[in-house]
Amino acid sequence: MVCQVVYGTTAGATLFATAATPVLQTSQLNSLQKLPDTVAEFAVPTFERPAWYKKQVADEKKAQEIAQSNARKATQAATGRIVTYSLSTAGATSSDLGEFSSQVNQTLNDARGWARMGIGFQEVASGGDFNLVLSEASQVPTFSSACSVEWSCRVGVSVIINDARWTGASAAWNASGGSLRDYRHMVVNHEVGHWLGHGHLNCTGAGQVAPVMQQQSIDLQGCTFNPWPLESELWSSQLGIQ
Amino acid sequence: MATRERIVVFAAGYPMIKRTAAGGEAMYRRVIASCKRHPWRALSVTGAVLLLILSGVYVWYSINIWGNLASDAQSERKIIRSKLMNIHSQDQPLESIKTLAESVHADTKHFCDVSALVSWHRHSFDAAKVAHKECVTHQRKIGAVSESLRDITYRIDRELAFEAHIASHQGKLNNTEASDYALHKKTWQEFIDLTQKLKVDSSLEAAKKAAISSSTFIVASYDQLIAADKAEKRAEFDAAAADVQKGFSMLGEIQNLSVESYAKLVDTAQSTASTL
Repeated sequence: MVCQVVYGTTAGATLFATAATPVLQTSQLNSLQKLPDTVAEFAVPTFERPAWYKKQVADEKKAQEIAQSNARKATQAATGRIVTYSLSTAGATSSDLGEFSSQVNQTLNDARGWARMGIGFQEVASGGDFNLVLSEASQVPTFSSACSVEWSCRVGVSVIINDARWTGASAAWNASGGSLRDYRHMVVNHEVGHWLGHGHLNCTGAGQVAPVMQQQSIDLQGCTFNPWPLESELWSSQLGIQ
Repeated sequence: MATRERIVVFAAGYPMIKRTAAGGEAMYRRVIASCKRHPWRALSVTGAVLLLILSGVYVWYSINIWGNLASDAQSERKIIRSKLMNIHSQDQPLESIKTLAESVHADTKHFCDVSALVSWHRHSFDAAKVAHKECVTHQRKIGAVSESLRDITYRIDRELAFEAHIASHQGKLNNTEASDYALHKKTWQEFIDLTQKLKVDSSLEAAKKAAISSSTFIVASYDQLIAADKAEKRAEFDAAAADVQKGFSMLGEIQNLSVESYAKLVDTAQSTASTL
């Protein structure tokens, strides 16, 4: 997924809505920022297991799985928080809003998703912890100059899903043979991930499963597509979950 | 004898000259003659003439100053707008923006100041009052653009220092043996100490805090990793290793916060620039 909230160099220049001729170009100003790209270069360490560790693995593999399962259940029981969100649209959208609502809720509460942090997501009529917006592509930049017509975006409590991506995924995704439903899982998880406090991540190595916060539509960097958050991504500064 | 004849000729000719002299010239001669007789009159006449000239110059100067004030400001706005539109073609956009912002700031500081000789006119004459008000409006708009651009360049300067600090830390990590947990922990602790001392723009404070909190989490995770390794406790080792990785992914919040806060500065700059 690509979104421009944390995308340093926006490809499309967003110009003033009110001026016929642009005075300052967004892409030009955004290109001055180097920090986001540098932060993305942090290589997540992979730990070579010590010898004593490898010796124990064979005997305790099964026990460990049970322990992890129990630990997960304990975390879920301890957290149990319900995150609320409202739905809205911006501009003229072509998608079925009922289907959008239903699929978003399924994704957010899927046992493979953010719900693994022991939280649940509930749609409310208005307000909510965040607002999920299905937006006509041309309307996306109106939320922030950092957003573009190309991609989905997140600005403050607004999690904006680009209607064009919702209906047609992305060129890279489609070229790799990914399904539309998986793309929808990914775009919702990715953008909500920003709201939860996440930035972008890079692939940790060839053949690895891509983090959901990786910009998978641009470049898989050798990883495999993945619409769901990895174990290491299960935290939220927004909700105070580590 | 010859001398006497000349005098006679001169004396004889004088009435004839007097009869044919122009009226103005006669007046002039009378005034000169009068001035020679009465020096105070000469002084008065000279003073009156000078006063008349100076008054004319003063009125011309005032009209010129107030008449050009607003139009000069408007022209300056157009020039600045044009320069902003051409920034994207510069090789070093940051330096260009910085130079432009500083020059605009310096140029517009006393933009609507006029000579003390005529500055009081804006309190007394409507035309001067209107011209000054119009100039101040232009000055404010240009000033707002200058300020928003200065905010951006200041922010980017600070951010580049922050970015260099992170890049240097990444270099150290890359050169550290992955299994040397103690050295990794020490490197992260040094990073925290230096980050705390790092001066950042207020718009980057949240990102700095995120860097410190993520790094603190990583240091604590390395502590657990070292302890688990020493005690040969595999579950603890796994948990600590996962926490270290989680700490790395938490660093992503720096991106989030820096892009968000920068986008606000960009929005402000665009908004002010659009008024030019």
